Amino acid sequence: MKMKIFDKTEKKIWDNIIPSENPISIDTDSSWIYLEQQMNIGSAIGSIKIKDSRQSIFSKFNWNFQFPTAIAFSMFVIISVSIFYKSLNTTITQTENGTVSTVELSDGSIIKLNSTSKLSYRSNFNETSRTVSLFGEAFFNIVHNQKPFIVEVDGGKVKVLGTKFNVQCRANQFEVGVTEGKVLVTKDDKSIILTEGQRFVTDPSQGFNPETRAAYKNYPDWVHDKLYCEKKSLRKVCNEIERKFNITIKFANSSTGEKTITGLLDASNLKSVLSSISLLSQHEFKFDGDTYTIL
Amino acid sequence: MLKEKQLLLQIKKGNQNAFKKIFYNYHQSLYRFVFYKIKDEDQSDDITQETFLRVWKNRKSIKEDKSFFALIAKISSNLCYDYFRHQEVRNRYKNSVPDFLKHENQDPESINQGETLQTEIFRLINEKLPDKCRNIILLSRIEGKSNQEIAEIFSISLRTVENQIYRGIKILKKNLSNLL
Repeated sequence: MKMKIFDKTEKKIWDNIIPSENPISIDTDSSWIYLEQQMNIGSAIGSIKIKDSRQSIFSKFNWNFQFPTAIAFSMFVIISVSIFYKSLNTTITQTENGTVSTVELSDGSIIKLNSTSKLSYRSNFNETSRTVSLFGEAFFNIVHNQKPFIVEVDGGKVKVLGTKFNVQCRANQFEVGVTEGKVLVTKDDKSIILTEGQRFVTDPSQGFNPETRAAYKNYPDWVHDKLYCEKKSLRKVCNEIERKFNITIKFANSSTGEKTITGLLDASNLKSVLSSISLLSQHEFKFDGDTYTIL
Repeated sequence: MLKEKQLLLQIKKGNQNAFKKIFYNYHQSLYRFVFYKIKDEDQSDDITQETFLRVWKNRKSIKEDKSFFALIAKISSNLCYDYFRHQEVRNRYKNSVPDFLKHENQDPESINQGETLQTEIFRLINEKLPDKCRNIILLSRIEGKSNQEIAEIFSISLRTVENQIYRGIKILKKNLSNLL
């Protein structure tokens, strides 16, 4: 201090203005990624304009090539195509009816794939980003790291840093539920953040019309060998059972399929789940060959 | 600080890269700043995050001639205040300090006098110092900024920085008379 000299007491006070405990240094990179997600929620809803970038790039190009330029350009094309081809090398894991599979990715994340689902990722996974594509349903346990983890589904995506969550994308049903951490769900240029215990359900054919509901106990049901029905139509319930146990269920009267049931059923074996359903729906099952029929 | 003004102008126009730059410049400092008050890592993280988010949401009303740090210090202080009011942590903290001091009175020789003085100074800085004064002293002592740098950060004169520091120390001294 040049201008005003501290006396002895003041100097002592000055020296003691240091934090008695230091915080652990905070991770600015991941804070930024998370902030960016939140920033984009406001702007994504505000502007749904999509610019056609292709057109603008080409119109700026001057196509009057000299010969050496042409050679350099063609080499550039060959190299970039080969790099592109390499990145297209895709690993696919697919499950059939009645099977569940577990995939461990190179970053240590573990994905449990439900029956009749398909998970694919490119060979450059974890190089610059962590992107996988999903059809069907899977439970993700993602290792935290700087690169955001993105699940692409038909018409939407789910972006996270490191958490546990479930994604289901089948006909007429897009559902995301979070059991730990936070995720960002984007669909049709609109986004929503889900936190622990929240569940997002939407019908893809009806645009972005999400209902956020509380995740129930034992969510997601299939990981815990349960079947969760919340005013779910018998047809949807039976579709899930068909996938899980690889059987065929028919309806003696097709209007029965529109009846809804509610409950958390034990789905560890076929017999118990069918008896629960027949109790809830007040319909009997008939077994014939390899086909079950609801009377 | 000319550069900061440029960044602020770009942020006003919605430039995310400019916002990213300013975020990286101030994130760590603001976090420690908030932590000094809150003493809770998760809460400090949340408040720091919320402060930047509010700046972004209200970017159109940023005044590029004013100091950015003064802005985020103010927003975060308000958020800290809300936090204390809702959680009533402040009350718990107030209750815990007299215990500490009581302990000292019982057995003056056994306690670490430096630590008590520090704890008391910490409390006084958060409770007794005016915001401007507190911000300047913390930047100097916690962030190790020079008076010249602080003057630039807040867009004030070097003289004002020195006066504020001196004024703050006087207030602390007055309130610490029983410990010194």
